[in-house]
Amino acid sequence: MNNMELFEAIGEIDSGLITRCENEVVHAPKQTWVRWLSVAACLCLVILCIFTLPTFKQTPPPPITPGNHSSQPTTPNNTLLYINQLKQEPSFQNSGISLNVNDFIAMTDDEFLNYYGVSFSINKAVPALKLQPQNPAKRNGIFKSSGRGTYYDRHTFVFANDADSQRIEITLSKTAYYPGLMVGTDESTAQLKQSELGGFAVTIFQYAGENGGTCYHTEFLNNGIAYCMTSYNLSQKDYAAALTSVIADNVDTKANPAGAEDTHTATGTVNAVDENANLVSISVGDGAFSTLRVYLPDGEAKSYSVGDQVKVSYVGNPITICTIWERQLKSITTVND
Amino acid sequence: MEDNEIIELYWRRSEQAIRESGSKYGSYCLSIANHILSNLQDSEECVNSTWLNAWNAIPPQRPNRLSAFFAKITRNLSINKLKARAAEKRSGNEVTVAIDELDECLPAPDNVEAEYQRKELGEQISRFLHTLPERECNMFIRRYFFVQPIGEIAARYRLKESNVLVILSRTRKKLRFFLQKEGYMA
Repeated sequence: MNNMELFEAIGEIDSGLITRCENEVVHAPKQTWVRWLSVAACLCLVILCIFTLPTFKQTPPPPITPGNHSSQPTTPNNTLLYINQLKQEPSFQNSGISLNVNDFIAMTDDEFLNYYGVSFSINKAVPALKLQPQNPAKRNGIFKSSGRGTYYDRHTFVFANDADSQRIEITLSKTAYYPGLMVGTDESTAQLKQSELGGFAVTIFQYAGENGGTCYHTEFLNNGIAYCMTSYNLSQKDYAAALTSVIADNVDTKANPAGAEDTHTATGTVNAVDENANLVSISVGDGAFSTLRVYLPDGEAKSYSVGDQVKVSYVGNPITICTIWERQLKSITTVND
Repeated sequence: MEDNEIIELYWRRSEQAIRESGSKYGSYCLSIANHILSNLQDSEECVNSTWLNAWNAIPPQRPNRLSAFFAKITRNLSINKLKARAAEKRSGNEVTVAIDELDECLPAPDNVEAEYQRKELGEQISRFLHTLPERECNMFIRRYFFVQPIGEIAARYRLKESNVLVILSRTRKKLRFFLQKEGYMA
């Protein structure tokens, strides 16, 4: 038996193993030291409170201003702003889609705006930032074939100042969730909080970029389009202003209330269960973003099986695209067909 | 469209079956073929042939898991394409051409025997994979069935590439030991 024969024989393995592999939902391994660290942090907090509470009672709290790096809520322009700090630069999911060069259709930025049906007035919200010309080194266009339809349409709009020292990149896609932020369990996901800008709930992450500059990142789904908005070296105030303008320009919150406290329900069929990660994956439709991943409390995932019809009730918008985190979950119930 | 509806279209001999298969599993199969062939044009050909093979196989077959069914066909076609490519490269050499010409002299039962042995070995490998923890098993399948690059696997499991290499190396050693026990290797 040679290598090629072994390689060919692997093609004969049990189909069930292949399907299980395809449906596998990966979650960052739980780190026990994080739990102990949390306990230690709580103890420290309690001790700190005991010694400092009397002082706080006598001194008025300092004002929280936009632009600080606190995770406390701030309120520029009557919005509720929470910043979720990540300890390190996060990783982003990669798309494994194969592109056929013969299917490429070039598009200008204007054509892309028409294609998505969106508009941006970031220049009005943050005058220093201007839409940059397309980078000719990158493929600016979509991939479409008669058999596959439009199968790749990701495009990034870049807004930067004249010196290119500050920038915002807005990546949109109708067909694939890419790039998407991957937040590990060591990021205290239970404490992730949503901001509400213009009546629309979003989760804003802050982290130090490659060269130490401050980055903010938000991703959300609206009207079948995935938005990923990342800033480099921009102040919190300017990022919030830009994000608010994107929401005001493109999200109809009157038609579909989607505030941080609004409750939503989704009904669908369980297509994968990951007991280790306490995660179930649910098919909720036929579109590009038809899978909703729901993190459940410890030990509850095993109560569900592939094929179950479930109804999920949650608060706010998915923290990351198509993902309901445990803290958002109000209830999940099995329903009859 | 649900898998059982697509299978039903194949059974009804409706050409829509091929369109629906392409729409739902086209990029999935293309990704498998391209991992093996690293050539989009060849990969597209394999994917198109996948629907033709499925058309010929259904009926009488009624696959329980349509994605795995397509994946296996695409993988086999891609391997055949890879072999054909290697043969083309050798074609300038007169000796290898002469040897290849002798292939047709081999009696057909050898191919049947080889096919049988491959399926049997595949079953043994499945048995082995069922003994592994789920993550190790899936990493093995991703690397040696789907032929995903190490970097891609590492990113998926949020591991360093070196960790993935170590895990795969251990799994290969276990497989070697398992196959030795089953009498496949001396």
